[in-house]
Amino acid sequence: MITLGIESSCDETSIALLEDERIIRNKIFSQQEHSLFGGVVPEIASRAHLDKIDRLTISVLNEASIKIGDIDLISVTDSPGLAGALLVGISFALGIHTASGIPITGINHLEGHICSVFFEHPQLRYPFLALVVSGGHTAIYKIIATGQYECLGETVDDAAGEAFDKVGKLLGFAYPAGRAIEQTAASVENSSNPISFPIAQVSKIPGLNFSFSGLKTAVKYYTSSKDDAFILDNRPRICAAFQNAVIESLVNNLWKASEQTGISDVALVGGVACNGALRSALKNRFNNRVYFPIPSLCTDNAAMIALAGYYRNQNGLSRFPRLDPSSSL
Amino acid sequence: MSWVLGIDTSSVDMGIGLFKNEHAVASYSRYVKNSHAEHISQAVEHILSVNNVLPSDIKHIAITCGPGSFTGLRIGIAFAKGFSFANGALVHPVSSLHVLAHAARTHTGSITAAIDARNGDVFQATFECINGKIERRSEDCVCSKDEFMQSILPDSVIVTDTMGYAKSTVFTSISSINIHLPIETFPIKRGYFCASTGASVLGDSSAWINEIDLHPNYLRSSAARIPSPKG
Ligand SMILES: Nc1ncnc2c1ncn2[C@@H]1O[C@H](COP(=O)(O)OP(=O)(O)O)[C@@H](O)[C@H]1O
Repeated sequence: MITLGIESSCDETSIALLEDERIIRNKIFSQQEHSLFGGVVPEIASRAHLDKIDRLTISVLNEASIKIGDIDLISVTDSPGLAGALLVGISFALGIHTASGIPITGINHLEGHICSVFFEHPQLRYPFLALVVSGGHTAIYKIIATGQYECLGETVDDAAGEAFDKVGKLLGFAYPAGRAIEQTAASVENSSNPISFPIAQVSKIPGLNFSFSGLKTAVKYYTSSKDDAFILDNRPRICAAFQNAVIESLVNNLWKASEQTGISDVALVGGVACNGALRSALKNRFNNRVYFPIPSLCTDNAAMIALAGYYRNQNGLSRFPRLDPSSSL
Repeated sequence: MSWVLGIDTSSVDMGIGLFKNEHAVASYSRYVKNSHAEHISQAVEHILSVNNVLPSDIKHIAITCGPGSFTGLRIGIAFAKGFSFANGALVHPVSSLHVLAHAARTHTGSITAAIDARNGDVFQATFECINGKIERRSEDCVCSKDEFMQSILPDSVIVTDTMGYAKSTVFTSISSINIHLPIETFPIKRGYFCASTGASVLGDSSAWINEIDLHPNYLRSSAARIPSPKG
């Protein structure tokens, strides 16, 4: 079965083709225009998606020598994300569907991220826990079966990736800053005198929730009390302290989730799952029962959307796309 | 025999039209804000199936490319791109101002079509109606409200679209010597006129392009929507 995946929820336009669960092609076009603004500008993103989406689709099909008539399912991200950006992918997918009669399913972007773990680890069995950490989301889900999720906790303010990007901005890194912070933190030479930033406890609302805006503010206070030369010299220490605080809060809550549910298999997905320090911290804590996608499948891509669509289709759970920009899982 | 499918999602009302050669077959309009993407697929499927037309029969799509609602334009264009990509249809880009001008097709003489472009600006173009045929007299452009008011010819019929913007004031001072047709009170079948515009150029192969060359005509840079930098 051939599935065409379409993803346009934020600043990546991506088109993928799967044969069953195997990736035939997964092309990702990352919009560069936003780095100037230190964040994604919705109107720019929507325009860039429309400029690229058809060319990308044509090149994916050509490279794979697959014709429209060979496609059995169209799987498109319809929530959550930037409304104008999502609408480009949804409308394009609906156009193909209407002209060709190929079945279509809408996919929740987070469901796509969670499914991305199965490319590398098809042996992973339900139920498992998923920590979704990206630029827009930070949440822990209990994954019961295809299309069946229970949210055990989420961020009450910034997403973890967003915190990386905001702190990166404070320290003078380009957007997105996650990778640069990780690399800079890794260059800490002397760990004898670490800085420590607080980890927020979110106890007002039930659940294993996160808060990262206080951490960002702590970094802001810290840097504003120092001069530029000091900050430049101490960037590795600041990055390491910030990254450790994020990792500690993620690992702690995931550990609590595992204790509460008795589930010991854990999937780490989303852009921040590229982070090597987070990966090893989780591996240590969970005795290697941690599963992550390869880094290129951690950030937004259409292959994961196609795979989620394939699973839904196999389980009779396809649903017509409907725009719902602010929905969660 | 050629079918022409017309699609207009540039404003509040979505219009779908169907022509068979130069003959009108069907038209569908829906006046609901912010819901074009949810209904475009069903609307096209419906108009085709009740007229016993297969999607694969549609080899010509006339589509409004702007100016208008940025998101609305993208919905129609992305849909048309997907449709054409799947079945090889050619597309004919239509100006939304040209579609608007059809509201005055029973008049003879000059027509100004205008859309509220927000921030005190207006998208506009002038046309002339000769024997029910709308001919263009000026290119689509964006200008200030004052420039727009000054450009209006005394004998011109003015067709305006506030794009559902309830607080729109750019058209309130149009003088009483002009015939003013606000689209909100003189609705037109947008999809029908889109399709009819396409049907009128069916024989002209230079009027039809591949979907890959189809682009929205925003008439405005995205800078208009960029928030001022925050700390
Ligand atoms: N190595 C890394 N360490 C930490 N964060 C990272 C790393 N690589 C990428 N990120 C972060 O991941 C986010 C992008 O992930 P993605 O899944 O594409 O998110 P979204 O679609 O929500 O924007 C950015 O915020 C980026 O800074």
